[in-house]
Amino acid sequence: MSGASAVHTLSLSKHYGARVAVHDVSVTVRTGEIFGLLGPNGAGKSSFVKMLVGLIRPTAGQARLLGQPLEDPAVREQLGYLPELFRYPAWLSPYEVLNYHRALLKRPAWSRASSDALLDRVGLLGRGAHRIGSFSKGMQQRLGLAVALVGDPRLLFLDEPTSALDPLGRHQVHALLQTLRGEGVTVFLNSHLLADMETFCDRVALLNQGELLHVGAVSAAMRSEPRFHIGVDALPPAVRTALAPWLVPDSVIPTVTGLRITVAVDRPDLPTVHRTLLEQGVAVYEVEPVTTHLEEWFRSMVASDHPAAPAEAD
Amino acid sequence: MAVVVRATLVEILRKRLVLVAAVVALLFFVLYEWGISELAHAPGTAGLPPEAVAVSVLYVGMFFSYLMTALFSVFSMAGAIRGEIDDGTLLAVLPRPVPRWQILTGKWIGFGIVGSAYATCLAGGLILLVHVTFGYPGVSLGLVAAWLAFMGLVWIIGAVTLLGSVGLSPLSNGVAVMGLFFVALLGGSLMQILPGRALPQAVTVFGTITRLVFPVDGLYRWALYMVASRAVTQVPPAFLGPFGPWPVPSVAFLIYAALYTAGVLVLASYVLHRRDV
Repeated sequence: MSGASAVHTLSLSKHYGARVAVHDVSVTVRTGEIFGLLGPNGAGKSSFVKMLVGLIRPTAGQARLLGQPLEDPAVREQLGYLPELFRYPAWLSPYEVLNYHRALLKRPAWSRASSDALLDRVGLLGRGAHRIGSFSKGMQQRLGLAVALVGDPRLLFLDEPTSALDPLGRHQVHALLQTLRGEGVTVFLNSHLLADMETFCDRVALLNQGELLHVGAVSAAMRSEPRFHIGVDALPPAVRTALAPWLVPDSVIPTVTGLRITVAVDRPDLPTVHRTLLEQGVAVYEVEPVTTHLEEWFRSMVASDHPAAPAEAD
Repeated sequence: MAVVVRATLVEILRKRLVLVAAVVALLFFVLYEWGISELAHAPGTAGLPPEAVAVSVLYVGMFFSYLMTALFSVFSMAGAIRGEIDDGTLLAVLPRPVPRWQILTGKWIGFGIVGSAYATCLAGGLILLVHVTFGYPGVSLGLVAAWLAFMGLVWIIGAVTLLGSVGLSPLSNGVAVMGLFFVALLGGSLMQILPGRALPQAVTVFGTITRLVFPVDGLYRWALYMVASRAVTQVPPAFLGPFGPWPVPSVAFLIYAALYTAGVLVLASYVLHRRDV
C-alpha cells in the first residue's frame, strides 16, 4: 500500500447479508488533492465514507488513511468529518460544541477569539454564544464544517457539505475549499452537486450499486468534443443541404434570436462551415464549443451497462 | 471519558429534566407529608407501636421514591445511544479518537451522578419527613447503607438502559426496561405476602429468578431493611403488605449486583464497539 497516499483502499466491501452496500472498491486519494465521490442515490457513497471514518466496519478488504491502518487511533486525530445527516445538541452553543470536540481530540480548549476565527471561516461569526436549537439547517451545516475543521485535520471527509446552504453559503464553502487546498489538506468530497465537483475536484470516482465504475481526472470527464453550437437567424432548406456533411441530426433548436444548430466538425474545418453559412446569406450570432459537463458524463456512465473498471494506477 | 461525563451533565441540566423532576418531587413531598400527618393522629393507629406505623409509611414512601427514581433513570437514558445515532448527534463524535466504551461509560457516569442526586433528594426528603412526624428513623449506619443502596438502583437501571439503548429505539428501550423492572418488582412483591417458611416454593423460585435477572428489586429490599432494620422485625409482615423487605438479600447478593452491573456495562460496550452506525 502507498504510504504517500491520503486514502488507499484495497477491495473494500460492506455487505449487509445479501444486500451489497459497497463491493470490492480499490481507490487511492493522493495527498493534498480534492477528490470527489459521485454516484446516484443509494450507490454506497455514504457507506464508503462511513467505513473510512470508522462508523461502520468493512465486511472485507483493507484501507489505510494517511499511511496508517484504519484501526489506528492516531489516524483519527488527523481526520475531520462532516456527516451527511447530523445534528448538534440543541442545548449547546457553537463555542461549547467546538471545545467539546477539542476535548475529544485531547487538545486544549479554545478561547472565544480562536473559536471566532474558525466560525468566521464558515460564516457563523457573531453566533458563537447562541443556542444551537435556534439554528436553521444551513447554519447547522456551517457549524458542522467548523467542527470538522476544529482539529486542523490533514484529511477531511465532507459528506454533502453544501446541500442545505444558500448561494452565499455555497460560495463561502467554495472559498474555504480553495483555502484548504492551499494549505495542503486532502479533501474527500461526497456530493450530488456536480457543479461543485466540476469546480473543485482534481479527480472523481464514480460509484454505482456499490461498485466502482471509474476513477479519473475531472478534466478528462469534461473533455471538449469536436462539436460546436452555432447560433443563426434561419436555416433555409438549401443551407441545410449545404451543411449536411456536418449537421448533427435533430440538433436544430429554436431560440430567442433564431435557431441553434450543432455541427460535428474538427476545429480546423470550422471556418469552412462558417464560410458556407455566410455564402448562403445566413447571419451567424455565436459559435460555442460543446463541452461534456460532469452531469452528462455522470448520466451516460450510470445509464450505460458499463463494466466495472479497475482503479487507475498511481 | 471526563469530557463525556461533563457533556452528559450539561445535557441533563439544560434539558430541564431536573427542573421537571424537582417539581414532581416537591408535589410528592407535600402530598406525602399531608398523608402521614393524618395517619400519625388517626384513631386506628392508637393501639400500634409508633415505630410500626413509621416503618409502614416509610416503606410506602420508599416504594414510590423507588418508582420515581426508576422512571427518571429510564427516561433520561433510554435514547442515550441509538436515539443519538438516529438524530445524528453521535455521528460527529464517534469518529473522534475516543474509544466507544469510554463514550458509553462516560454517559453512564454522567447520568448516574444526576440520578443519584435525584434518588438522594427523594429518599432523603421522605425519610426526613417521617422522622419529623414520627421521630423515627434516626441517623445510623444502616441509614447510610440504605442511602448507598438506593443510589445503587440508579447505576443498575442505568447500565441496563444503556445496554438497551445501543440497539433499541428510545421508546422500545423504555418499554423493555420498565417491563423488566416491573417483572422484578412483581417477583419481589409476591415474596412479601407470606414471608418466611409459609412462602410457597414456586414463589420463592420466581422471586429469586427475578432478583437475579434484574437485581434492582433485591437491592431496593435491602435498602428497606437497612433503613429500619431494628423496627421492621417488630412489625407483623401482613401489616407491610407488598412493601416489605423480605427475604433480606445477603452480602453475596450485593456483590452479585455489583458484578451484574459491571457485566452489563462490558456487554453494552462490546455491542456498541461492534455496532455499525
